[in-house]
Amino acid sequence: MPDETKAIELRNVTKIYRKSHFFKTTAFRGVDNLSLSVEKGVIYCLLGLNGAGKTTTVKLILNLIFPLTGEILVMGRPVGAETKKKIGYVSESPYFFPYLTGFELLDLMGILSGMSKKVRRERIGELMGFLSISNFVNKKIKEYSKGMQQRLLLAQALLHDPEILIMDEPYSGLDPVGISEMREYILKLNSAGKTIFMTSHIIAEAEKIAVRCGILKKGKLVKEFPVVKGSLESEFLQAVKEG
Amino acid sequence: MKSVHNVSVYTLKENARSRSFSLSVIFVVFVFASAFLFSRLSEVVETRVIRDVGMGAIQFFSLLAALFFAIKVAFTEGANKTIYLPLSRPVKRWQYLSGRFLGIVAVVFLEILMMGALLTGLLLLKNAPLDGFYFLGYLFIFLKIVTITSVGILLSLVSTSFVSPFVFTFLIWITGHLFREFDYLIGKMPSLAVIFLKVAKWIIPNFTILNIPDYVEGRFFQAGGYLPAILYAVFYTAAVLVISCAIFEKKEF
Amino acid sequence: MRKIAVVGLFFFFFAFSVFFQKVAESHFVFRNTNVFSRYFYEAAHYQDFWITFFGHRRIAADVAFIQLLQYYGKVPEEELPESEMGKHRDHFLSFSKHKRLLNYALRCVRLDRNFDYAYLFSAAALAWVQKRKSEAVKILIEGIEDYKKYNEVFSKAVLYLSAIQVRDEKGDVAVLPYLEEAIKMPDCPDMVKNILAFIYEKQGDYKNASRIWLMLVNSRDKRYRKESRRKLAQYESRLPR
Repeated sequence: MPDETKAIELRNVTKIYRKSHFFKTTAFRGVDNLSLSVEKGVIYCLLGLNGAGKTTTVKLILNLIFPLTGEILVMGRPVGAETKKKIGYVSESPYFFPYLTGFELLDLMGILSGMSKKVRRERIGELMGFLSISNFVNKKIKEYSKGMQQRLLLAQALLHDPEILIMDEPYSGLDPVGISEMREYILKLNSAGKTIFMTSHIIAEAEKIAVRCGILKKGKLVKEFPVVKGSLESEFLQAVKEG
Repeated sequence: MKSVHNVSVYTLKENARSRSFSLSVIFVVFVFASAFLFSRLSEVVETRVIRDVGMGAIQFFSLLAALFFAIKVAFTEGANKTIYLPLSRPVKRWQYLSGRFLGIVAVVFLEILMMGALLTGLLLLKNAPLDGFYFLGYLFIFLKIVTITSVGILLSLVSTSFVSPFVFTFLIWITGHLFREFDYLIGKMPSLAVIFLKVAKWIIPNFTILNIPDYVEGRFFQAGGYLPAILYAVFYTAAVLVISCAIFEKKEF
Repeated sequence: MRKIAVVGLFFFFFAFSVFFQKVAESHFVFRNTNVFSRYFYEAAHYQDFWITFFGHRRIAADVAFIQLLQYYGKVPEEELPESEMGKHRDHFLSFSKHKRLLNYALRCVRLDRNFDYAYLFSAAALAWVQKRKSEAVKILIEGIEDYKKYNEVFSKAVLYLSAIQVRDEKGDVAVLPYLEEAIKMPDCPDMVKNILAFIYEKQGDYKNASRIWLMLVNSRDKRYRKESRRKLAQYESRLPR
C-alpha cells in the first residue's frame, strides 16, 4: 500500500547532466543522492544558492527530467501521468503561449489535465473570482503585466484542484505588492489543505510561511529542519558556508 | 485522441495569430504584387509567370512558416521553458507532440488555402486557363510542407540550437528535390556511392515525386502516380513522427 | 513491449513509404535536362542551379525567358559600334544580330521542357527576323528530339516523315539510315523491311540486303516469307563464302 501520509518523497535520487562539446563530454551532478520527504498539508521550502539543485529537484518530481538512480514518489506512487493529476505547478517565470488568451490557456491546461468541458468552465469561473483575473482573462497573454502573468500561472496550477502545489521561486520578479499577494494566496491554499512545496532564495519570505525547510548545496541536502521564526537566515548561512 | 485534437486546435489558434504567420502571408501578397510587375516584362507569358511565381511563393513562405512553427514546438518551447506547463500535466508526451504537429499542419493548410484562393482569383481576373493540374499542385505543395514539417520537428528534437535544425532542414529540402537529378549520376558513380544514394532516397524525403507544381502541365507524371505519391508522403510523415514521438518521450527539459 | 510496438510501427510506416516511393517513381517521367549534365550547365546561369535546387525549375525558366526578351528587346552591348557606346540604341535595333539568342533559348527550354512558347518564340525570331534558319531548326529539333524520347507514336511519325522528305529530295541512298532506324523498332511493319531490302539490292549491296531478307524469313506474311527465301537462295551464289 502506498504511504499517502507523505506528499512527496525522494529516495537516494541522483541526477547527472552530461554535455558534449565536440569530442569531450562533461558531467555535472544536478542532485546527488538526495533523500527528502514532505508531509501532507505542510508548506515545505527548499532553499539554496543558485545552481544548488532546487529547480532540478522540481523537474524530477514533475517527470520533466529522469533520475539516474533513486526513486521519486508522489502520494506514495512513482511519478507518472497519474501522479501529475495530483500536482499543480507554478514555474519560476511565467512561460506561456503568448498568442493565446488567458482563458484559452486555462482551457487548454484543463484539457491536458483530462477535465470535462463543464468542469473546466466551472473551475475557470471559480478561479477568476479567487485570483481576480476576470478583467483580463480574455486578453492575449503577451499583453499581460508580470503580476497578471503570475496570477494566471497560479490559476492554471490550481485549475484541476491538485493536492500538491509545486512552486519554483514563486516570488521571482514580483514587486512588494505582488509578493504580499502571492504570500496570501499560498497561505490560503495551505489552509484549504493543499501541500505546498516551494523553492526560494528569498529567506525572509520563506521564513514567513514555511513549516519545514531543506537546504541544498551542490545537489546535496545539507540540512533539513522545522522553521523557527528569526533563525532561518543564520541557519541557512551556516549550512551554506559549512557544508 | 481527444487531447491530440484539442492540442491541435489550440496550436492552430496560437500559430494563426502569430507574427510568423502574418509575416508569411504579407510576404506572399507582396510576391503576388511583384509577380504582377514581373509579368509586365513578359506580357506574352504573363499568366504563366504569375502562376509560377505565385505558387512558388506560397510554397516557399509556407515552408518558412512551417519550419518556424516546427522548431518552436520541438526546440524553442523547450529552451524557453514554455513546455514545462503542458508537460507537467497528465497528458502523454506523444499525444502532445502529435497534437502540436497536427496543429501546424492545420495552419499550413489554412495558409495555402487562403493564398491559393487569392492567387486563383488573380489568375481568373487575367483570364488564365486553370486546369485540374493547377489545383492538384496545391495539394502537393501541402504534402511537401507536411513532410518537411515532420522532418523539421525531428531535427529540432535532437538539436541544441535554433539555427542547426533550420539549416539542416533546408539542406534536406534541397537534397530531396535533387533525387531525380542524382539518378543521372548513377551510371558514373562507384557502386558504393550508388548504394549510399539508394539508401539516402529512403531516408531523405523524395520531393521530386511530390514536385507537381513545378510540372503543372501534368506531362511528367502519369495519373496512376498521384495516389502512390500521396501515400508516400503520408507514410513517410507517419514514420518520421513515430521516431519524433519516441525521442520526445525520452527527452529531458 | 512498448519499445517493440514503437519499432514495429516505425518499420510498418517506413516500409510502406519506400514501397509507394518506388511505385510513384515508376509513373514519374523526368523529362527535363538534368542539372548535372553537360547540356544543362553549358546553357545555364548560376541562378538557374539555385532556383532548380529549391524545386522551382519553372520559375527559373520564366526568369530566363524574361532575360531572353530583354536581350532581344535592345541592342546587345557587344554588337554596338564603339563610337556609339552609351548613346541611344534604337536606331541599331533593326541591324542587330542578337548572336546569343539561340543560347538564351536553349537555356529556357533546357530548364523547362514544357515551355512551348520559348521554343516557338525563339524559332520564329531566328528564322524570320534574324534569317538564321539553321539556328531556328536547331531549337525546334531540340524540342522534337526531346519529345520523341517520351512519345513513341510521335517519334515514329517524325522518323517516317523525315524518310519521305529525304527520299523525295535526295533519292534512295539518302533514305537508308532512316529506314535502318525504323526497322530497329519492334513493331516495324515487314513492308518497310521489304522496301529497305530492295533498296540495298538496287544498290548492289547484297550483304545488307540478305541481312534484311533474313529478318523476313519468319514473317507472318506469307508473301514476304516466300520472297525472302527466294531472294536468299538467289544471293547464295553471288555472295562470297
